[in-house]
Amino acid sequence: MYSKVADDTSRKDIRILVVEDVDFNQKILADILAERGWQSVIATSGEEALALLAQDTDFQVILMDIGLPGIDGMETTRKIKENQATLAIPVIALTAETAAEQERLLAAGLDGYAEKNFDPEQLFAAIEKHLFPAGANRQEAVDALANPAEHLDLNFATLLATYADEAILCRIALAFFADADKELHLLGEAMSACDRTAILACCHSLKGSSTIFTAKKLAMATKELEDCVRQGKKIDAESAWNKVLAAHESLRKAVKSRLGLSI
Amino acid sequence: MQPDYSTILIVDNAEFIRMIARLRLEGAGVPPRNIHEAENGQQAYDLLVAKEIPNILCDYEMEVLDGIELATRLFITEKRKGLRFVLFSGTPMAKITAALAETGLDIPVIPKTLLRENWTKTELVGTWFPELATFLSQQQK
Repeated sequence: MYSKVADDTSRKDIRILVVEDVDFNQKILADILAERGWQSVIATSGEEALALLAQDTDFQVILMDIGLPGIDGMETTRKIKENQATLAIPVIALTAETAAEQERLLAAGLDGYAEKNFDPEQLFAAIEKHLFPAGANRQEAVDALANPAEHLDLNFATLLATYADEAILCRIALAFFADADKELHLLGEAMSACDRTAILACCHSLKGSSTIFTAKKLAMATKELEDCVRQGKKIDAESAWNKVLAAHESLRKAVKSRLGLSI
Repeated sequence: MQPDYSTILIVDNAEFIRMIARLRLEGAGVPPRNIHEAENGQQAYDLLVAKEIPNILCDYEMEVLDGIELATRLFITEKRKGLRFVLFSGTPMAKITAALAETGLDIPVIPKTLLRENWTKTELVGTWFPELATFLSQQQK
């Protein structure tokens, strides 16, 4: 069953209702969903989710924690599926349960499940199965979001909010560039040698660090290179490699100018 | 030698990742002196021979003795008891779970995405390293 709103798969303003009571989990899920450019709306209980859905049904997917206090996730889902206005919205269970238990969730009316391990790729796959059921326009939508030029070099506001101290931020930035410079050097060598395994290993590492550093432009450029290499697109890979270098240089300038570091 | 459950070892080849993990642990209340670091599995193993550190937060992919190789050596080859070993990685979980299934190891795996958020004693440290969380609770009293 697919949400009627999700039929327009090229739209970028995808809204996902996250029903989760733990504050930390809410934050991490919102953060992961934002990677795809998706909006998240949080409900901290089944009751709050139902109240919210009574006012607003424009959600393409609902992520449902099962072990909620009060009305649990199963009961909340049952009520969602009883309501004509919301029954078409796919509900994906977030669960740490066993495979047998997950099958029970599906039998109980949930549309899918994702393991509650905060693995972005697994979560994206579980959601995209419902957003882009036939695969149509998925690449177009993802490509549009993956354009590195659209992203910031670095999200200073987030970093400062997280670390609350510019001195710590400087230490983090220095450590980031020490590692990133090393990875870029190795990546350059791997590109010259057309060493697919080494390129993918470097991309994996650089993409992970860039994401944690909130350097979205570099992370997205690295992902583009990784995708090109995985798909064997040699000419596109050259262009993506240049984007990685440009994003790295742009990031360096942004950090130098903002933090006054000699990097 | 009695393990000191207030200590923890971070294993990752990237200085940046080790630093962020350290900040997260410090933020959860772990004293800086109780946090140890190693750049790869071999360096971690050498440290664990010299010093009994029962809590280990270890990267999955490393060039010299990766996370699963280190866990295999500790749990299967040496049959060490009382260790809390958590793998963390940016690799898709399914791949790691499959690799773990081959070895028969039953250890938790968490994505590095979690490094982007602050950790708390109860939410995360308590889940993975319960004895460390108990130590932190006692420190607060």
